[in-house]
Amino acid sequence: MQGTSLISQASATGFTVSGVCATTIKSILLALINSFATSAARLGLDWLSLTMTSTAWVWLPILMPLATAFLNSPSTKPSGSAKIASGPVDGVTNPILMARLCARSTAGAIASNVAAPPVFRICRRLAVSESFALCMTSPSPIWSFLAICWISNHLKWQPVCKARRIATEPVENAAVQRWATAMPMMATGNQLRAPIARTSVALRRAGRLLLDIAQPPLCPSCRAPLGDGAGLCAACWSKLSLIEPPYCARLGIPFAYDPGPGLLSMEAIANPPAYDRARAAVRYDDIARQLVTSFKYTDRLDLAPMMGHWMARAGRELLGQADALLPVPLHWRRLWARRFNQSAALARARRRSRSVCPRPNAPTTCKAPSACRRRKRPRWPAAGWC
Amino acid sequence: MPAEEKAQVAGRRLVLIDDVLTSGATVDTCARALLRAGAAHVDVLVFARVVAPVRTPI
Repeated sequence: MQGTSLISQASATGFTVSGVCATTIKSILLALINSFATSAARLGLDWLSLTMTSTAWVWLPILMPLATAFLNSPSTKPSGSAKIASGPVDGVTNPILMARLCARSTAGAIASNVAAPPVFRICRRLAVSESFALCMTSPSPIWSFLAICWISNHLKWQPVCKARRIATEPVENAAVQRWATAMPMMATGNQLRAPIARTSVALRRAGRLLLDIAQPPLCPSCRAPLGDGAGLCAACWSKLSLIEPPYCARLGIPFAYDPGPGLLSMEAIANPPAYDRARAAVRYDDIARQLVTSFKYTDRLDLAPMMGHWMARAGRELLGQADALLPVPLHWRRLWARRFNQSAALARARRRSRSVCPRPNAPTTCKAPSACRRRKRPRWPAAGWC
Repeated sequence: MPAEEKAQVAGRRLVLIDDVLTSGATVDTCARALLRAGAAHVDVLVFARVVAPVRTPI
């Protein structure tokens, strides 16, 4: 096509194209014109291609954790408006409302505040016992992370707690009294309380930054980087289907429309189960399957608090009347292979958030009620490491 | 269920916790065992449940 007139050019389709001839550009000004055409995108001036020209992906591999910790932008802060179920809808056609969840919310205090965005906290740090258990059983690069967890868990708040106890409460413990006598500067903790608190906050922030560098917070479903390390990324959150009313009062199967209060589904009428009510947090779709498989089969015990929060929101009416939580027992061979009972982990996450309050008139079969309260978990055969 | 375990659950409102509820057979068996042991009410709270797609007759 060299030498074709700039005025018109005949193409193979039979149309006559007028204007700039592409062959002229290719043969003469290829590099320069290419540079001008894409320089805006390369420099980030084109706002549409900002995400495509992110410099975080060209960093050296050794700097990638640092880049991920500082330069990640997507996070789980979706809007608080009603979330419509995405994708082909099978059973739920009503918009799913999201309620605000607090980190320490009781079952009765969960208010369905639609205007506020949901706050889902995910704890990426394991307990000391879990860290040790994983250390002993899995020789992998997770060693460094576990060491940081262990150190941060042990450094956290211990000196501050002692100082606070001395400053605010009458000294009752003899050991603490001896310690306070030996260190008179700490006994006058009123002057030291504020700087100690500031120091501890700074230490915790530094520890958090260290954790983010060592283990950047990722979405548990798609492993996209998260800004604040909480919950799912926005794309996975939009695909998640929370189960909301209307649903069957017995089985918790979501209805396509609201048939009225207390109406049962056909399955509950045809095959009534032995239990009274069943509630579920989410539908078992792709995102939920990914969460559950990560939780069960890849030792992602850090997902338990997040999943437990969702379960508490779905079963707040059950938990408000419950006396005890019982995890479904696991066979001992599977428990040995998996090293934990996933149901027990979920129940423990619920118990730690103190959402279950025994009823005031709960029948007590123990001899001493205090002994019953001291029991950390309900005894249930083969309940696992609850 | 042993006698001391029966005493723990007798007359109580219990909530069974599980991760996935597919057909409900597992939690149904557990609920039957607990009800035989004297539990007052047994509820089930799971993280995810399988919801069968609705087949609309044409």
